[in-house]
Amino acid sequence: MNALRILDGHVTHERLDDEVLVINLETGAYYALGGVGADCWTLLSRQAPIDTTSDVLAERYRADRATVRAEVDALAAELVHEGLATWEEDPSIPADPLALLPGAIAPAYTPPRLEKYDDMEELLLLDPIHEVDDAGWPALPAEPA
Amino acid sequence: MRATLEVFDRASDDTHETLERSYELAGDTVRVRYAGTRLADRFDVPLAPFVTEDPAAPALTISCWDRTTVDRSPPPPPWLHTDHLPRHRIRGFDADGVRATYDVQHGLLHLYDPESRQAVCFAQDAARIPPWTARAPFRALLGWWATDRGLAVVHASAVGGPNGCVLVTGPSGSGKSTTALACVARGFGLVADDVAIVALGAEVAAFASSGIAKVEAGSPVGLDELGGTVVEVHGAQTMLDLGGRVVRRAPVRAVIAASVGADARCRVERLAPASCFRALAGHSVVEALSGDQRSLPALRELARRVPAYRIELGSDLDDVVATVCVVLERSA
Repeated sequence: MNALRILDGHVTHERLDDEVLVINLETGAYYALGGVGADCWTLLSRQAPIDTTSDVLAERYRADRATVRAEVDALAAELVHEGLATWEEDPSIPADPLALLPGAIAPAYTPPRLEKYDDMEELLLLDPIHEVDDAGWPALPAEPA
Repeated sequence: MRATLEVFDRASDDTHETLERSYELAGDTVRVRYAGTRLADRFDVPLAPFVTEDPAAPALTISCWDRTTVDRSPPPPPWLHTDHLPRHRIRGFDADGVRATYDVQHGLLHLYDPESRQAVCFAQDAARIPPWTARAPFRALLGWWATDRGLAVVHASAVGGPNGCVLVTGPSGSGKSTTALACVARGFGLVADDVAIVALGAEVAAFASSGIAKVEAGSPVGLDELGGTVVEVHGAQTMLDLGGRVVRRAPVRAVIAASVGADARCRVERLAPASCFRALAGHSVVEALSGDQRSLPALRELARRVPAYRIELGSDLDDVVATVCVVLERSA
C-alpha cells in the first residue's frame, strides 16, 4: 500500500498557486494544504507512490529524505482517515512527477499539514425518512393527533 | 424527466389557471410555466425584477405545480430511500445527467435535465415552502444550470451599482449580510443577498437572481433604513422586497472576506488569491449549491482574476460602508 487514490465520487479539489483546497461533499468538511503540503497533495493525488513523492519533495526542498518520508507517510494516513483517499494497490504512476509541480516553490521545507475546516458539518443533517406518501414520495412521519 | 413533464402537462390540462413567465437571468432567458397559481404567488415577487416582456428563445424551461392545486404527483422516485443525502441531494442524481433534490421536510422536488434544458419544480403544498426557499426561487435549478454554463455560483452578498460591485463572502455570523444591508441602506444597489451568479467572460460580472433580502431581528440595519416592502415575516426573519434597488448585472471589482472585528473601525488587508479561493469555495460549494464539483474551477478563476481583501468589520456601520467604497474605488 504505497500509493493513494482520491475518492473522486465525493471529493473535489483544486490548486491555486501554492495552496490546494479539498472539499468532502458528503461531510461538508473542507481542507487546505499549502506550500509543501500542496506539492505533496498534487503528487499523491496523481497516484505517485509515497517513495517517489518523498524523493521528489526531499530533492525539491533540499530536506532530509528520512524526515520527509515519515511526514508524507503521516499525511497519507491522515488523508485516508479523513475519507478523502484510499490506498491504491495498482497505481497509475505518473511518468514525470516533478513536471506535475508548479515552478515556484515555498521558501523552505515545512512538514506538509492538512488544515481542516468543519464549520459546515453542522449544516449537513440527514433528514430522517420513515414514511412514503400515497404517490411513493418520502414524507415525514405524521404529527401525533 | 419525460414522464414527469407529462404529469405537468396533465396538471396543466386539469387546471384552468396556467401561467407563463419569462425572466432574464444571468444573461439568458428562463421560461417558467405554472400549472395553477399558488407557486407563482410565492415566486412572483422575488423574480419580479427579472421579468422580460420581449424574451429570446429560452435557455431553460422550468415547469412548476403543487399538489394542493392539482392532485397529481410526479412518478415515484427512481432512487432508493437510502439514496437521500444531506442537503436534499440524491445519490446518483447530483453530478452528471439528470439532477435532483428532494426536501423531505417541505415536500419540494427539483429536477434538471441539461440535455433537454428542461427542469421541474414540484411542491406537495406551495404554502409549506419555507421563506428562505421562496425568497430565492429555483436556487438549485439555477445553480446547476449556471454551473453547466461555466458560471461561478458564489455564497456571497453583492452590492454596488451598474458600474461595479463587491462580493462579500464569509461564514454565517461574519457580518456579510450586515455589510450588504448597511451599504443598501446608504444608497448602494443590491445584486445578491446570499448567492451571486458570476460570469467569467472578458469581464467578471455578477448577476442578481432574486429581489428579496432577508433581515434578521436585531439587525443593526433597520427596516426603516432599507425601505422596501415587507413580503413575509417568519420567526426572526423578515423578507424584504427591494425590487427597485436590485441591480441585475454588475462588473465584479473585488471580493471581500468579512469577519467581525473587535473595534469600532474596520481593518483591511489585501488577500492572496489562494486565500480568497479558500474563503469563497468552502461555503459556496457546500452550502449554497447542490454540491456540484464543477463549481470549484470557476471559483478558482474568480479568485485569480479579482482582487480580494480581508476586512475585520468594525461596529461603526458608516465606517464599514466607507471602507467598501474605498475598496470599490481602488479596484475600479
